Amino acid sequence: MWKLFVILSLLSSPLYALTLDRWESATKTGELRWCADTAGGAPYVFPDAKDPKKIIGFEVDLMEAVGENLKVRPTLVLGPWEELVPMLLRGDCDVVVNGLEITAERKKVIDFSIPYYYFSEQISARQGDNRFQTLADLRGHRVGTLAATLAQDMLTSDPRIVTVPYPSPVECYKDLELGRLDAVLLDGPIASWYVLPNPRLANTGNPIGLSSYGAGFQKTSPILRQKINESFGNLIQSGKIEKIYRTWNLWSPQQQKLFTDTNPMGKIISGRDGALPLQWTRFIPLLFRGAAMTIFISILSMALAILAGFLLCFGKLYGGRAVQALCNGYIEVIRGTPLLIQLYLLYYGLPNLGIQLNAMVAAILGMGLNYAAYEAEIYRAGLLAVPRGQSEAARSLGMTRNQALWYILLPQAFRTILPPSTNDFIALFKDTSLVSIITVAELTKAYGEAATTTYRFLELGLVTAALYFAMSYPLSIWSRSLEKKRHAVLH
Amino acid sequence: MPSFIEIRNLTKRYGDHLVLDNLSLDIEEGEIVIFQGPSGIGKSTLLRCLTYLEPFQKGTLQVGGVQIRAGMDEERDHAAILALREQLGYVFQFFNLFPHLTVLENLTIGPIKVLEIPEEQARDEARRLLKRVGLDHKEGAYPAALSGGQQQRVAIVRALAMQPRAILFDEPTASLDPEMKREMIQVIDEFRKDRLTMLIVTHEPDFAKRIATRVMTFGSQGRLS
Repeated sequence: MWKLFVILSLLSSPLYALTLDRWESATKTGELRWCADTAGGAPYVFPDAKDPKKIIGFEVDLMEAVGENLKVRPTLVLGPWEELVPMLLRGDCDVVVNGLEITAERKKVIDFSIPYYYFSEQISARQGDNRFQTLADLRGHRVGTLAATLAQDMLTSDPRIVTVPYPSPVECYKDLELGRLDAVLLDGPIASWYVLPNPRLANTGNPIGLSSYGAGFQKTSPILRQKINESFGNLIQSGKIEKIYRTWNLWSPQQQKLFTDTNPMGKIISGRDGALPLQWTRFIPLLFRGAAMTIFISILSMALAILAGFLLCFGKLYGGRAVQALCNGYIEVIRGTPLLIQLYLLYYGLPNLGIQLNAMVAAILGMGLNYAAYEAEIYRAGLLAVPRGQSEAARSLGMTRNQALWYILLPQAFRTILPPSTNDFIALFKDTSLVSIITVAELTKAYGEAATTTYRFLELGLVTAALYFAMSYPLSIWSRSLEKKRHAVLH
Repeated sequence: MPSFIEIRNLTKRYGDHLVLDNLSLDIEEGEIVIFQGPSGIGKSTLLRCLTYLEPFQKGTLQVGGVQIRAGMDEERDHAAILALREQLGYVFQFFNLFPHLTVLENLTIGPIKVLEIPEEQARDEARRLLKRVGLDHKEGAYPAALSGGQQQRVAIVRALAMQPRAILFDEPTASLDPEMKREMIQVIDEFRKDRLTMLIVTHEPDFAKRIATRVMTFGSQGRLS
């Protein structure tokens, strides 16, 4: 009897669940967990504008129909789009259904269903800009797309195109509108949904290539794959899928292929398809470029933080009442709001006021002005820690306030300021990973791109962490030796 | 002819606490005046007001022709306040040497930055002063490496390096042992030769009486007798 109990508990343990065909767990719980990202947006899976708690989209309808067909309840598991495949592999869900392009690259890692939708890639530009008709026309221009998509692969396969990957299409098209991008390349359904209603943008040129979306499975779930293939087949043959696509205005002559082509590879136009297997080590130069960008942004932001920090500190210590209130307000507001929000406001918010910054400037301003608030408080504490008698002695010699500050107070405060300031620099250095959200290709962004292309999260993650550590550890050592020196001189 | 230092109706209050009440006093050039009385009575405050390290509520000062009124602003009226301070060297009770500068730099930073004397000349002058107080071998040392008595002598010559007409001592014996006090009197004696005016605040009744030209005792509310 106890043996049976052990076997049962083994069967239900998560470790075992990884090797179990997901169809078995789905039938056991009556629940089919499919994962998707709402940030990937309309018309796939997105929050209903009328009731944002409700998630709608053509893939939601598709999965409802599949669930009805297979007598399981479809449950949506949300995650960032470029993480959906890793989530699947980890067992967080049974199937990925979210505009996942069927590519040879992905087929090395996961299995695909038969195609459930055919599409082409679409170039979009600002209204009236007719320069971009083909992929070749994009050379030498900044072109936005979504991270980890087939469209990104197509763009990066031509090194003369400056590819700017985004986490969601909304920001991507917004930057096109603002002139931060020259064009956008994305899947036809996305381009139709976001560009057609926008009078300032237009889709240009002919649709590029023919690709298809398929549901993604763990390679250990052939039964689930078989069940979903049958279900898709039913929906296609019965005309149900056409009905769904028509309600979303997604039906097109291309979809006729659904009836004839049941080869899960589909026909694919991709820069990397058919090429040699992607080795993660090939991405290490990309990481080094990211690291150089991280250093560049850190140094410029810190220089700005020091300069603005001193101004704020002097304003707070020696300014009139209005200047003091202003500096105080600035410091409190900056310290009381997340850096991430400040970056978003600088990059995506300011254009509403007619102020448009490019990503690099926004990153450096955002980081620098944020850290200035912390620096100001460090400097103030450092200056206040210099004994009162020092400034009195300086004044009694006839020095002006500025002379006393420069020759007597600051050099002494410097020793108190330097260690916490160096620590702040190390923190800033690591916080630069946040600027990846405003499209700056620093180390974290480079890691994200490399990892979502190769799925080698562990190896590339360790290399990335090692790079960060190699850059910040010398600073820590320096900071500690400074502290020791300070104790030696003053005590 | 006006006296070198003229204090007229000086009133200094800390909040409700009246420290100096309508004080008037004349001091002639070359005098050595000792202010004595219990601690906390306002002797040090008088010296601090005299160099305007401490602003006061009422009254006027005249030092070597420079007029200072109550309510002057350190930044706005810097020219007048600088002209005042150039005549008055100040030796603090706890010396307030600049710990990040060497002995020589402590002596030369004022002359170079405030009086704008050429660096070489300021250094020569500083070395001469150090020699007079027997510290010429310490010019490269940092204050933390000096004894209390040595620090005080550096504080005195730092004030003298500005070539003041008077020097103000705030409790010069407070942190000295008897041996160092004798040395201190020798130093004061040494600079008396220069006909330097000296104002010395002390709560020790016997200190330096021998060399004083006048001894004034503080009573309550800063009344002098």
